[in-house]
Amino acid sequence: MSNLKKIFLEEADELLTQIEPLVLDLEKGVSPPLLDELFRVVHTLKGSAGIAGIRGIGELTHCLEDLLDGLRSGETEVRSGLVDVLLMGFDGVKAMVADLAAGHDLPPPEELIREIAGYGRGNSPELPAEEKMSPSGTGPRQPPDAAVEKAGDGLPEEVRRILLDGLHQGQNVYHLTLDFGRDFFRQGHNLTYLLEDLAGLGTIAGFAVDGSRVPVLSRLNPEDFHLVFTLYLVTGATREEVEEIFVFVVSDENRVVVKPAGEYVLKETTPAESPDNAGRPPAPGQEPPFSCEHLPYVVNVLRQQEKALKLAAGDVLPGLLPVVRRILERLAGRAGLACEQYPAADPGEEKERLLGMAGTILDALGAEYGADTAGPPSRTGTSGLESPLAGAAASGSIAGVARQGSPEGGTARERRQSAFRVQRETADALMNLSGELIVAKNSLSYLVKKLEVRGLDEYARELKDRYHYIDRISREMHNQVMDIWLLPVQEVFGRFPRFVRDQAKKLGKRVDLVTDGGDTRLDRDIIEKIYDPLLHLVRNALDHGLEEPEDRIKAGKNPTGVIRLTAQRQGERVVIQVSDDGRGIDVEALAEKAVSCGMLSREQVSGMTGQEKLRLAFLPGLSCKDEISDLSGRGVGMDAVENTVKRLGGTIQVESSPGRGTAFVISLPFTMATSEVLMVRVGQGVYGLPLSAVSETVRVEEKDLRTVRGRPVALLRGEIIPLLPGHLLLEGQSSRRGEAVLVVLWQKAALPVEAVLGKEVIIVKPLAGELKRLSVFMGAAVLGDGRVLLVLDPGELLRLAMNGQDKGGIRLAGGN
Amino acid sequence: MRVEIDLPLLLPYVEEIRQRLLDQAAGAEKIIFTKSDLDAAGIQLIVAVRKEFPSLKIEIAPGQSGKICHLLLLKEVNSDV
Repeated sequence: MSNLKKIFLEEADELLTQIEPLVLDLEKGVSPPLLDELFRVVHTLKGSAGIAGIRGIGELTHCLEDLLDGLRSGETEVRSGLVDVLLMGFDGVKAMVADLAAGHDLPPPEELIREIAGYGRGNSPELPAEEKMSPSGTGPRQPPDAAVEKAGDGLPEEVRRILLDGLHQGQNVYHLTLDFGRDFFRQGHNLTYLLEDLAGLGTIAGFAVDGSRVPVLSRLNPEDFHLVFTLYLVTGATREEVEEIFVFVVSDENRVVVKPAGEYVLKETTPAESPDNAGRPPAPGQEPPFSCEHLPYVVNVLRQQEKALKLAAGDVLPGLLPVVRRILERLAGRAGLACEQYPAADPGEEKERLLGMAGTILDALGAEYGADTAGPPSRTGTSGLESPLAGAAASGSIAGVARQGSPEGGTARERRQSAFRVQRETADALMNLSGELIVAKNSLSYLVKKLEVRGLDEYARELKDRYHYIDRISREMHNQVMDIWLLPVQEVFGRFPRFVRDQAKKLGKRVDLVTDGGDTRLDRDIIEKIYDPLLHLVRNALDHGLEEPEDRIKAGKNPTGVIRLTAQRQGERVVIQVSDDGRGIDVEALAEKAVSCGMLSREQVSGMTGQEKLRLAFLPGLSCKDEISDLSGRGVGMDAVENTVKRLGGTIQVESSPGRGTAFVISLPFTMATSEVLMVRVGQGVYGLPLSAVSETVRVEEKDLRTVRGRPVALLRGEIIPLLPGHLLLEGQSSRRGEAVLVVLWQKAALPVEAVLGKEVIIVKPLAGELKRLSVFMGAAVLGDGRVLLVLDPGELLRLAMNGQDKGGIRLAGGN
Repeated sequence: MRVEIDLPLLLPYVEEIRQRLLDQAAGAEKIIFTKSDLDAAGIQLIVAVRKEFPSLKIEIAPGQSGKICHLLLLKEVNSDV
């Protein structure tokens, strides 16, 4: 797969992630800024597909872009089902991206294209009047003549009069853009005939040509087509009849855009958008200058061009350079930059020129936004671009915008300079190396001890100083690498709005999803693995937790239920909570189910507290729901949730209140990359215990070590603490000579040990092969002196002890 | 000095016109196209001439053939020549 395609796949993933929430926001209300934002992202996606030469995705995104453009211009009515059509379309794009990743650039499904193209032309009911969008974003849509009257401020008087007269006589007014490809002549087309056919339909007004792409005479190839025409047509014909004139011309290269004129004119010349330009139309042959809203998009496009060129090292794709040049020339023109340079014959030289152009435009944009105004002079020299931005020529363009103090503008250049993409492999390698450095650094402390033992105190002291210095640097470096390694929880939360919307619709429930703390950062490995557990919990909340709207009303609740997803950093841990305001868990029903399934006896259940009964929800195969649905009710899930959370080094708690809802609270370590362990000696073996699981270490006298109901316990400050049979599960015998050292775990159980040896930061690697069967160990780590440390899984240790099993670890491996 | 071109400003002739202009236009003050025919390729040529020889005056014989292009050229190109 080419580099361009790989980059496209990454970008597509990123852009599709941005698109979905925007589409879902349309359900809350269709507004011009929202449509503009969505349009820009989709346009970027289409542009990326084009640069990478991916035709199928390009075609589908083009179709979606057309729909959005129609909605923006008001040409397409906002009707019910819009969000469904868009989601369906973008699901199609996602599927095609997946196909592309598998090596297939397939065409989009025809029926999908038809469905999207047919939106707004079908019989779906229109939205109520108040939900319709006006071109200006407020109030109902204006009648076309009103739009033209308003737009007339930016048109020559005679053109304005022709358009208004036409509208008042009941005719249609269209704005046409004829943007043909370079091979237009070679394809045998004749523009004169097309224009004469067009004139036959009505009156042509405001005819203009953009000659900015035409090279100087000495470089002109007469067979290349370079012009772009724009015109207004006043006609009794329908849009379809106008488009029919170009039916044999239109292709991917030859684009003809026919739009109702009033809307189009408004968009390009309203005084609000270009105050300095009010009353003046764009100069002939020029595209309108950038407005504030265009800038993020423009910067994005420029960066794409830069990236495409840089990636095209050595093997420049055929056709890439002219495409990039065309885009850059247009951007330069719209930025008010004079472009006097023409394509170089040598592809390498042309690439350098284009890179220079892109850089200069970006610099100019940055300069206008108050960032570094002094662009490198050599860059301007190589690009051949002269920037009149500070002069009168830029009035109403980005210079004008800068004066308005755009809130977004100041960051455009900074964003370019402060953010870049890091390959996953690079981040992995950095993380591993950083971890290895910590292990290597740890070895120095062992050397210090060796020197001390041999009486070489002076050398030991010197090495200790060096050790502290390296320790500080390696910790700082590790923290910086961690910053790359951690991702915001929003990466997971962002996947739920669509799921909740779709499932709520399917279930006939009304649900609001509220997320909070999405910027809390968490280990990317955990981020990747926590989605499934959260999905189970959200599913349960949707299916079991929240009531039907009518039931909620009867219970005096809002018919719309709320599911909350929140995240919060608490010290070295991140707490994620999934809660709902539904009916709560019926603990008695749960206990009854456990009895009827034969999982527990009635006696066992009767002795349980409410909280213990609530924990039954985590029993494998137990579900309160009698019916099995697509969503849940199979009793599969909660135990899997708990197991996954445990594997990630976390814990899960449940709280529920009848009629008020349920909350699952998951506590996770914020990283799994490195762990701090407490090293202990049990028998002849040395083991590690995750420090996060340790509550305290205490020394108890032998008299406080007892047996209750056949199980060993310790009496600690008047409390009975179960003792884990470490000597059974691990190598060696527990020595009880007068007193014992206990490591008390968070779960209120204690592991008797021979000695506590200290803390160490380690990298835990999972056990491989046969050793994987030893579930009592969560993994192993290499210590600074080269020894291997087995790290205990406190949760599993506890589970094995409580179940009276001794097959999870035991003497098969032993310590080091 | 003025240069007269007696070929129509149509695609098939544009390359020949271009060569003539490159040979003769340097140092000229005015170019007169004596044939009135004009199409999009002709418009491109005029634009390219203006870019290469910004001070050159251009005159095209009025005509009905390619009227729309004439109107366009009259308005958008000739206006500031």
